[in-house]
Amino acid sequence: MRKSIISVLLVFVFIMTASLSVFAHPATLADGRESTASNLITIKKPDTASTSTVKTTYSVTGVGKEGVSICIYTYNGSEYVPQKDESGAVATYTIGSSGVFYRQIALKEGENRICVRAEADNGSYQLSYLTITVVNSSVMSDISSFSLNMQSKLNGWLN
Amino acid sequence: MFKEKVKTSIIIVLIINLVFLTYHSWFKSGILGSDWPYFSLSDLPVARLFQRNSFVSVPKENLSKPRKIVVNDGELWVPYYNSDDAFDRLDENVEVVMKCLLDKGAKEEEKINYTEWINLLTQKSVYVEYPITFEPRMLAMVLNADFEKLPSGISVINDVIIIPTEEDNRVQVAVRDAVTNEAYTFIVEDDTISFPQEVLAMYTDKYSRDGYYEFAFNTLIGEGLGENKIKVSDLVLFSDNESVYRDIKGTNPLTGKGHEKLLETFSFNPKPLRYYPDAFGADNYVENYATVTIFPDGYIEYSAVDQEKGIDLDVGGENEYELLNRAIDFAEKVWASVSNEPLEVLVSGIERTEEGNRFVLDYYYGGREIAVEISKEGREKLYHAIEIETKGNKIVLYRQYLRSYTEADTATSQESFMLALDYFVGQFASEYGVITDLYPGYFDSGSEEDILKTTWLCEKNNSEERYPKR
Repeated sequence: MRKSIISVLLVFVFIMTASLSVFAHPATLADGRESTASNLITIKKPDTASTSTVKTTYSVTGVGKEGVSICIYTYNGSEYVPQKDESGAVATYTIGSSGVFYRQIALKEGENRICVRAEADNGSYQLSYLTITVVNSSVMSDISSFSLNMQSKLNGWLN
Repeated sequence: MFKEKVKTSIIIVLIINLVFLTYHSWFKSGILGSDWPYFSLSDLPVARLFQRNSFVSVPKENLSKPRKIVVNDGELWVPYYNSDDAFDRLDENVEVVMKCLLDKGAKEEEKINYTEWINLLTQKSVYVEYPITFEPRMLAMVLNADFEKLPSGISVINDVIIIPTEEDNRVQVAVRDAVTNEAYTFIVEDDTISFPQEVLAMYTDKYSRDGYYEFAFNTLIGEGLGENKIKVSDLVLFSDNESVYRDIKGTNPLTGKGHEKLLETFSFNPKPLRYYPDAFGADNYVENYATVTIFPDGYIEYSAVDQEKGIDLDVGGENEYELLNRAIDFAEKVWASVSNEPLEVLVSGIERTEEGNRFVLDYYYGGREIAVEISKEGREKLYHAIEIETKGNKIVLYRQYLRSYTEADTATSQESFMLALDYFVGQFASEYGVITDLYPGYFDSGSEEDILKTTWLCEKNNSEERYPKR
């Protein structure tokens, strides 16, 4: 009887551990690592592997199969590290019924190398490498350089 | 002698102080804080008669206000709703442009297709969406402009794009016909216009640190959502933001009150009235040509049995705008018979029926819509706070879910946009159609639970029904 209970508990622990290991995106990705699958997602935005923007926030979008887990990595100079959520955990997103994923990412000025890692429940994964270049800093600097003349120009728009 | 003068001065100061404080405690009480526990003259019923003079009609004020204004500085989109601090400032400047467009006429015109129109949204621009689809003449009336005419075949307007130019008093306005999707661009120039390009960055920068919004067309996902038949409209706003909103509490303002005042607004004389309760717990009042039914949960219905003898709105000729104004006046009269608070609703639909007009109004709280869906035995389903049907100049059907909303002590975190999209696509996966809008709001199903938590509301195929994420 005791053995049976222990067996059941072990099976339960095994199942739980196995399910947790699904979608476990690695803590780092080496540069140049290759995909084991190619049809999990299609990146829609950016529509080319290399693009530029003037803002430090950018949305990466795509379509894929329901249940596929997405994690976005950024290159830190030696390897790719995953985006973290507010609690500090690796930020992952699972594609739902819409078949769409949409993630906003923070960029630094200059070149940003991104890797979108999509993983299926069988463990196969697809890596999509993107380069997004921020060509100009925020328009904030332009705003702060407004002269007094500009303030009168904006009359009616300011408090 | 000097001592006498000092005493006199102190007494004068004290008397002035006394008069000042008495005035505030009787009439204002604001200076003493909102928790001033004593009597105030403004609490007297008779005082309310005088206060009415300064009464502002919220639904009439809201009629000319856009449902949302989306600012793009060339890269980021930021939506502003009625509750946002900067909304009114934006709206004032938008209104000037719209008045000039309708009033003084446009100077140039170019016909563009839908793709060209929507691509204008990627430029430095301001997208303006009205809560209802207006005929140009009616929009002019709502904006208090002398309507000349739009030099094109635009029949109805729901949204426009304003594009500032190098000159501050000159803008390009791209107007889309809400029925045909054909669009026209106009150059509007006037000294009253002040729309510098630089101002747009101010309005997007405020939100850029919290993430931003993006029209569906710009996500490049396309209309199709995988193998699902349902599609998503180009103008749905995607976001990655997760905010916390206060819960709200709904109460029936008629609870514990008699029905006499309410009946009088429908011109029912409470004295010789025929009355009977029904199996659904409703009180039914009958007069020769009409009935009024009052349910315990706050649902009320007036129905003219003889369609020629409804409630006369006293409108001369066929003036739809005047009819709408009078219908709003009537709704406010009904509300005033049960509550002392202003009626916080906005007109969300105007429809021409075979026999007349149908106006629908919805509650909102903190600038966010409260979708109502009351589906109970013994009554027709109600999708709005108020539904008014007119025939000629008379109201023949009036239905309202009487609710007064206040902020609750609790708050709820809004689920992400993508979770909501997944939910609704899952719901409508097998249907051909388009999700035309998806936005945060509240949903009141008339259940016993009076606390309403923030949720997502979905509109499909431009129909007036709002689907909540349950």
